[in-house]
Amino acid sequence: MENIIEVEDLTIAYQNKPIIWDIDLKIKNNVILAIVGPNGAGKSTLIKGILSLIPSLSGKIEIFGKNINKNKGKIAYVPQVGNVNWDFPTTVLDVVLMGRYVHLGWVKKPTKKDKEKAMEALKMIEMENFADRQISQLSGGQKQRVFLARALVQEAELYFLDEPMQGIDIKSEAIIFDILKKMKSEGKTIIVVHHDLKTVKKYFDSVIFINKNIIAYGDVETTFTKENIDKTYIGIQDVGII
Amino acid sequence: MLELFKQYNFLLVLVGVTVFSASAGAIGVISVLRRQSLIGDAISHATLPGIVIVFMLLQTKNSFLFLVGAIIAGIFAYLLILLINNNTKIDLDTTLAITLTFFFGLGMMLLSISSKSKNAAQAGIQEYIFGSAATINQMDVIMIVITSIIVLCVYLFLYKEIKIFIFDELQAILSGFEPKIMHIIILISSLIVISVGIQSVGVILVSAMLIGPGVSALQWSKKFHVVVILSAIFGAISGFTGVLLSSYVDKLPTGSTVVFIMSIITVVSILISRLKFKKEK
Amino acid sequence: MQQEIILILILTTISCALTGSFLVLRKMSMITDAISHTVLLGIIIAYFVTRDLNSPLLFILATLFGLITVWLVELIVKTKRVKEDASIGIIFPLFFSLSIILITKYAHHVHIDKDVVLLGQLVLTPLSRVTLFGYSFPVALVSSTLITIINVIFIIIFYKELKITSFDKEYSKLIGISNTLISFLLMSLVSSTAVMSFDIVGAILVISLMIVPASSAYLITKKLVMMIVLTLLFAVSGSLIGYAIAYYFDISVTGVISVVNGIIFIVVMLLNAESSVIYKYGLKKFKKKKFEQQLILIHIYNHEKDFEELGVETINLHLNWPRKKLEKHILDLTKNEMLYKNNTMYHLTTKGKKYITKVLNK
Repeated sequence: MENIIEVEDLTIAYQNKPIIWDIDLKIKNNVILAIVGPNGAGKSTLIKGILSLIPSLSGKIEIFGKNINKNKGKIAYVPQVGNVNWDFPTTVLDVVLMGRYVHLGWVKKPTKKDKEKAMEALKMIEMENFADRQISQLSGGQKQRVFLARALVQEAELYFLDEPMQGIDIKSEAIIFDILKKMKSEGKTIIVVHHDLKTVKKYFDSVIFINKNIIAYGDVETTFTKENIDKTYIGIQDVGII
Repeated sequence: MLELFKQYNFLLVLVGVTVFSASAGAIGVISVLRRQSLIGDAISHATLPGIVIVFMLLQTKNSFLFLVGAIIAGIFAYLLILLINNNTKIDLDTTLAITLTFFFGLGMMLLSISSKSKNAAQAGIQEYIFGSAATINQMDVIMIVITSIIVLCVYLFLYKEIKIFIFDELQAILSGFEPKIMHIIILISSLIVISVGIQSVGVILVSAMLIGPGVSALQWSKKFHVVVILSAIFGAISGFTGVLLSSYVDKLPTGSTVVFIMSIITVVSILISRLKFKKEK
Repeated sequence: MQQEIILILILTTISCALTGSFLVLRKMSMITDAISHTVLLGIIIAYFVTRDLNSPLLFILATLFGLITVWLVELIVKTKRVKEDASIGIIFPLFFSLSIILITKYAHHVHIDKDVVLLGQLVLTPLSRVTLFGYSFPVALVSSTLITIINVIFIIIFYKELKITSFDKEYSKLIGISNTLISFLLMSLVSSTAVMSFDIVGAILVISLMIVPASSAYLITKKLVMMIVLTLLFAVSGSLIGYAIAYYFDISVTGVISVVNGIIFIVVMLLNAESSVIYKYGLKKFKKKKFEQQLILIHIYNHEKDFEELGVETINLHLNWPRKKLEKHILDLTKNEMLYKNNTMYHLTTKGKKYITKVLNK
């Protein structure tokens, strides 16, 4: 399949203000794609719109050629700030295990295989010693890695990550991007809302520039240009990139 | 013959209150974790008009139909809470207070219409609030046991769904678990527990048992399944000890004794966990 | 007689609604439910000490217990082991069950009617009288007048502080207003008003009077003065209407007024309503039309000369809108000379182009 996601004329508004207008996108399969833009550009909104987490005013979305509801198992999403109930008594392993639930459906219990996969995912993010730790006791960066592990264990084909590097040290960032590269080699597609323009060329092969509209979309070599950056970040001084 | 009867009656009360407190404790954990503890209190008060209307139609006490009336009233109360929540920026606390006073007031109004005397109305309300644990009959106990089985089944079949639903509702949606279904299942099971409890042990005990055991259990364990089981145990202990104590000691009201014991357990649990926390520092 | 009852009712209504409005603003509504259950313990203890049902110690200790309730709830929350809502749900069963145990065991013969706290005895208030300045007044009239005056004075003196601490706690700390002091004074007022009023109208109605009219007012305005005025308006009319109905049909005053207050709230809410989802993720009706038309123009702008996107027949498929809606907008836009039809395709006019570039650059 050539285009894994097809978005047509998508418009989303919030509290009387349009956030993204008339978006057209055909996202290719098997890429590591960065979505960049200034604050309020609509990056998270775009993802939430594609996932139908928020209603849209107009437009059509197709993933794997179908409606999202037919695809839940194949799509994983790691949102920006965990709007999560941190008081809930649960361990790190438990949280990662939740990534398998989509394949179980109602009532069915997680199997031994599922638990093994969860431990595998923890090993991948180098946190297998934290398996029995209470989730609320972790640092911000550790929590982020756990949620990534949860997405990994889902064994999805399409991954959305919303600013996963925020508050993460360099070492963890490198670990995560290594994992993403590995995933790409396994045929997955990964879409990341990324805030640091300095690292786009290093880690990504495609990029979308968005500021209420799509300014540009394409391979990093051809599309990550000063011209496009300027167009997207109009009036914002010192974006600080090469 | 009278001796045996008295003993059987006592057993009914003992089993009824103990089992009820256990199941209320278990199902209450969910509301406590979702920071909605007082919903149980509000809805417990709100079931009054449902029971009164059934009484007005039947002119006699019928446990099962009272249960149905209470559940229907509870559903309406919950709908009002949803309505206020979705249409205004009013906080949950205030929403509960509005719902509670509206429905309970309605019940009081209807009760005063239907009662032949002011005393009868007052007696009715008193029984509603404090329960009449001493007069629990076989039908009550059967309903209580059925309720506990329902609660048990909910946890057995939907354990992982409850976990993901409380911890991360967004992830639950993305994993294909329609939150509306979860909301309805939890609501109906809570309503059944509340409505059964109202009839046998009264509002005070119901709302206390939905909160106390859960809060206590959370002080002792960080594992969800342990918390649920512990809540049931704490509830059962309070129920059991309360009934025993009130039967041996003169003039001790059953319901209040159970609640008091549960409150002590809760306070002690909090103190101990606070001390442990301080020690670790 | 009747006038006295109505006067007592109105005064009680006013004092409850006044204190309650600040509770609603501070999002502390359910604490009134807790207080209504816990003051009983104060009354019991005071009775055990004085053995006199008419001793003022009952009132003092009851009010004190109201304050203790708030303090204990905050204490428990501070331990970080329990959240606020659950803390309330722990304290009041503790106190309430204890009071019932004490009453049943040691004061069974005494006429401390647990229901009175719940139901109140408004119609009986003229029976208990006291003589002041040579005139005979119902005790309840004296007490409710007193409490109303205290409430009004408090609000007038501390208006500024109440306003700031209710709306913006952080700012109040900055300019040195002691939130603790104001909270303490307010809760003392709430407690004493509640205790005074329980006797007259019962706990349920006290909670209703404190919370519901203020909530109705809150739906309409956030300006403090306006809100207080509206609160009093809703509260007093609710009580008068409710009392009239209750009197005419000879039914529970507490019940009817609580229901009337609730109905007023629901009516205000429905008149003000905007469904949350539509409000958040959509547009207000009157702006929607303009916005949708802008969307059409942007669509044409983005896909210039693309037959598939802009064809007369196919454009509605791309926007995913019902045909009729689209046609209505197109008609409007053509009338306003924003677009025109040419070769079964839509195009922007110069006027349209200018307009939409302005919109996009905003």
